[in-house]
Amino acid sequence: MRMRLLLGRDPTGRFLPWMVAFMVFLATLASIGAMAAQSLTERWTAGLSGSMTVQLPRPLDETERGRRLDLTLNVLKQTPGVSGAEILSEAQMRRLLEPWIGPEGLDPALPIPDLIAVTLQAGAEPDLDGLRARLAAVAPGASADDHRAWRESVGRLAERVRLVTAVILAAVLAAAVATVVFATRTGLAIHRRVVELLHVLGAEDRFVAAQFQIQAFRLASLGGVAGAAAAIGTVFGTELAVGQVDPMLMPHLSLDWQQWAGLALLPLAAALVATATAGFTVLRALGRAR
Amino acid sequence: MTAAVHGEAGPALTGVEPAGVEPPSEAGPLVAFDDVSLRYGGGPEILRNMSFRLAEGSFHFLIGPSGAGKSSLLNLLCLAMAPVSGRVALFGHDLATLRRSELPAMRRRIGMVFQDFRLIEHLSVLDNVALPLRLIRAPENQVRVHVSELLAWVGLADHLHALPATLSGGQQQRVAIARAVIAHPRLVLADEPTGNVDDTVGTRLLFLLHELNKQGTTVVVATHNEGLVARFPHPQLRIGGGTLRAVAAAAA
Repeated sequence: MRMRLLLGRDPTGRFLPWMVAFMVFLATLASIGAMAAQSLTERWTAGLSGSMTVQLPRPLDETERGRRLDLTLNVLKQTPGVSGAEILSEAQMRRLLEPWIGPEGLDPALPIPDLIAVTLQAGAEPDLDGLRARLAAVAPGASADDHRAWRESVGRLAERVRLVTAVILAAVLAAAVATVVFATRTGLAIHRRVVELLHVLGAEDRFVAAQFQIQAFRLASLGGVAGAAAAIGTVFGTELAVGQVDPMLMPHLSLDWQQWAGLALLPLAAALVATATAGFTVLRALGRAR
Repeated sequence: MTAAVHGEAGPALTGVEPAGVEPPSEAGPLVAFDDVSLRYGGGPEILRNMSFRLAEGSFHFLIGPSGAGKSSLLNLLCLAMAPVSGRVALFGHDLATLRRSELPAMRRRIGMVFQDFRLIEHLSVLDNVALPLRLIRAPENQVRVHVSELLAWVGLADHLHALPATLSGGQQQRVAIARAVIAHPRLVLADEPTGNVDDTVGTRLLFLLHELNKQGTTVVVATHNEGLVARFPHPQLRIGGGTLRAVAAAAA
């Protein structure tokens, strides 16, 4: 509408942007946390799916060790769904264990088992029990792990993170709605005379509500953008601060463009929620007043 | 003079019709009160069993001391409040039968001049006066033309962009009158329009309302300034203690 906003300034103009900023800040942090956890679990499960690990206890006799490894490779090659198998070298073992035992290398006295990385054909799910039985026949004590337990555990973790995020977002939404209701009721009381005047001049309730909605949209947009910017700044600041930490211990944030777009919509969502809430609050209050 | 203010000459001034007696006009009275009472919340009755008729095109003074109920009566007339009992009819419509959604259209046919002006402080004179036209989404170019002409009529042509706070009391009152008549209402109500201005300005304001009435608009002016009223030959509704005490014909 070409008409200037008819409501003058009031204390809610200072209060509402701060409250919305704080809520969007929390919502953005929670969303980033959920998105990061989602990306991380997807990377973890993607890296483990389509593979299997076979572990053989290392016998004292090197000849026996070689024989068991050859027999095990043969069993694996004959197993339906297996596309490849590779015995991990000493160097690969050292890299795997480095985070726990340091860069000095393996102590020869440690009874480190042999590991075989098995690659599976796409979509293949080998008969794990049958394979274990055949492996036990050629290499006593051999074990085969298709990482299913780990992937299921990671999946449960991701589900819990999503649930916690949903609860946080619901709490933030409820607090935002309550804040806007309070601010709008306060605004109605402050601008009571202007509202009365508009009614006497023939304004419809929807027109009066629109005045408060425009105000709420402006203030919530301002607060929402500030809150989201502060949250993203906080995340990047934290990233910089922990940048030197090993990614194995503290994975770095990596969001795709769709996730960034989702975050950019949070301030808009906050503004729309504020607008709808303000309109509903005014219409309800005016309806009760007469 | 603006198109908003110009109009066909209204019916000649008529006095107050006795309650319960329909006026001779086939169209019926513009305002009809039958046994109307009003109270605020659970408080005592502010107005009690008021009955009267106002014919279209009439000009009435509503006279009574402070606290007599003049403003409350005007609140009923401008549809800011509803009676607790009795029947109020405006423009031939019984208000009790109107839906909530029909009230805004009724209110747009009424111009109200508040005692305290009720100008919106952060809006210019132009925007304040334009408000009723913008509420009905009048074309903006027409809004500006009509507001400019009307402000010239009330002697404020040079104050289009001034804020209300920079105007004198008399100037603010004229802005309030301009806002009340810009949309060419059939009924104009003024609550103590001379209460915040000196006699000279008050007389000029009443002349403005008198001129408006000559063009057919029905006018009701609440005042306790009997000296000022004596200069204008219009009938009077005298109220006191929340009741209609007397209906006086126009002074000779």
